[in-house]
Amino acid sequence: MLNLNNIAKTYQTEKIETIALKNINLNINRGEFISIMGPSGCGKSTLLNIMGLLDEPSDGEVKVNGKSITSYHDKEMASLRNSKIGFIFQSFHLIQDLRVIDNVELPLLYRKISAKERRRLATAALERVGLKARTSHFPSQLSGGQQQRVAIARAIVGKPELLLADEPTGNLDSHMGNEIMQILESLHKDDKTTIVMVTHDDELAKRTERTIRVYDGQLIH
Amino acid sequence: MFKNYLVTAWKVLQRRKFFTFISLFGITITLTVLMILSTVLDNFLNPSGPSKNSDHLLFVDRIKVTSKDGNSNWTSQPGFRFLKDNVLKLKMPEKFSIFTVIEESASYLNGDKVTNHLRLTDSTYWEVLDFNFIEGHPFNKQELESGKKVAVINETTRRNFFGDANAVGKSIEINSQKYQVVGVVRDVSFMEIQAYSDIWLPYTTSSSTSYRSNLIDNWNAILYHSNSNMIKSMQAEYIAMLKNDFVTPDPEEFHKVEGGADTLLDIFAREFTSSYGYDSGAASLISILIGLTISFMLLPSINLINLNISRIMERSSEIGVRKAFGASTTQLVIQFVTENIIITAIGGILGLLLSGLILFQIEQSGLVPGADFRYSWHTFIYGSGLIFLFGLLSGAYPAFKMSKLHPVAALKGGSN
Ligand SMILES: Nc1ncnc2c1ncn2[C@@H]1O[C@H](COP(=O)(O)OP(=O)(O)OP(=O)(O)O)[C@@H](O)[C@H]1O
Ligand SMILES: [Mg+2]
Repeated sequence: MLNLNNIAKTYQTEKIETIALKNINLNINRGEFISIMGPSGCGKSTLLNIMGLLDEPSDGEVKVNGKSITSYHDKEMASLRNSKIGFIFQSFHLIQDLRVIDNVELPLLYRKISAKERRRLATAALERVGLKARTSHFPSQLSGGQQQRVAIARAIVGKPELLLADEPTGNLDSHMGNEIMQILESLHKDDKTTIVMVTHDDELAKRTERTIRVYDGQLIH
Repeated sequence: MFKNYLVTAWKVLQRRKFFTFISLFGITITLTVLMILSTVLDNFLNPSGPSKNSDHLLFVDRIKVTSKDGNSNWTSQPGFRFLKDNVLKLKMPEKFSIFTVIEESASYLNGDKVTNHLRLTDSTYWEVLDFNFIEGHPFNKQELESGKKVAVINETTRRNFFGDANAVGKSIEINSQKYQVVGVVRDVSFMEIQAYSDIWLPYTTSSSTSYRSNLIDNWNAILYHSNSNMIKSMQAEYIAMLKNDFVTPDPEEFHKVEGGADTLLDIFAREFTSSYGYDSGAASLISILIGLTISFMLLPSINLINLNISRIMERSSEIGVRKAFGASTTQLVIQFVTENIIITAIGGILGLLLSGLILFQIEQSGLVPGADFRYSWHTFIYGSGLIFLFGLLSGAYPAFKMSKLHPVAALKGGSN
């Protein structure tokens, strides 16, 4: 469902040019559960951001369901992100000013869905991650594990085909991490969601179907 | 969709109490001051009392006289002589009225001295200005010419002298002379500087006749035309008369007169810009007022823009998240502008209420006698327009800047 062809990404800062990625060729098939591993600074987040259409590659081509998105404008990219992709970040990135339920509803705000239906879907997503009792709390009133579960509910509320998780357990202890992993596994198994997860944890990587290793901006096999 | 923007904005503002408070404070104060000033100005320029037909009227309120050698000049109200020899000879006005500015008069009431405002007028005064008589009638031409001791008083003066009883036919002692009351009018706002007074007397009842020879003194004239389109031509005729046909009793000292037949705006402009020549300075007054309004509004706008921009850092994670989950740049701009318009609208409503309250207090305090500071519809539209401009001004730029943030950069902390 997602093809990366010859992707390169360089960052041009004042004096130095950083090569974050080069020669990346990668196909992600529908229904896969993939983990990405590699040392810090090797380009994992950059790769994930390109997959999530949050960042544009300096070179190469990204295809979504066989269609190149190189020429897409802001609006088209936004609608593609909204309908196809769900994001989970290492540091949760919940909006502190909004209650849990409003945070989860956020992706649906950019779709044509009634307020009632939004509320129903968001409640269902929170139930899915075991947080139905916390809908009117503010993020700061929750533990780290609970916040990450809210973030997962937000990522899955729009039923995306592709779920991208950048170190979703990085800020959590192993017990909490395991809980999060179980939710991801159930999404993969029961909902057939395609998942790409960046992790530093070998144990978690072993539980996925395929592990991609990145070293110094390149894939190693 | 728009409802979502409103709801989100409302939630954010509720949580950001400090930011909301600071922004509201700035907007409310600014609008309050602007609304008070503009209502007072509006009251002056668009009177609702006897001078409500002011677009049919011109006022000769100031003249600037220069001596032949050019070494001395005086700016003053005109005198009776100037009006009689020059203004009353103009061809275009359908009606003239001449009268004095107000002065204090003394009366005795049960042995106590009371002072009132007094004005000497002719009889056409009551035709060119539209007074509301609650009792009796004005004095007429015949009474004026025969110097009959008659008086028109206002409601407050009637209450002071006669309680709740009628006054017409009764006599009243003013400056040690007895006058017979012929009419009682509703109180007039102090803002209507040509109409306001407590007591009006025929100018022929004045104890001395020395005023008749003065070129500059404390007199005023009103020129009237039933067609308000003639105002411009009447002003031109007046200036042409000053330049070409000015008749002077003393060519050495009173060689040249400058000034104009003024609208209410001109009168205000002359005082505000100290323009006492042929040009009243009305055009510069308008630019000055627009300039002042803009710079006055700029302060809280810049404050709001600053607060908003400093919040970009704070809210960059939110922007990144919204973009990651499918918000387009346009949607984000609309959202941030909506937030701002809501906050300015609330500030605006508070400002309208607060200024209304303050104006009401001023009115009640009697600081400006007879003042009637109700919002007129054009002040209200003016105020609402300002509020909208305000919201747009302070919302659009930060919103644009915020929404342009690259999603990845925004998620990292928004440094570029
Ligand atoms: N905005 C940027 N400007 C310049 N260089 C950047 C920028 N973002 C990332 N880089 C560089 O690109 C490389 C890859 O960064 P990336 O964040 O993808 O690493 P990572 O594998 O996710 O690391 P970690 O495991 O620590 O999260 C790094 O060398 C980083 O310094
Ligand atoms: Mg990373």
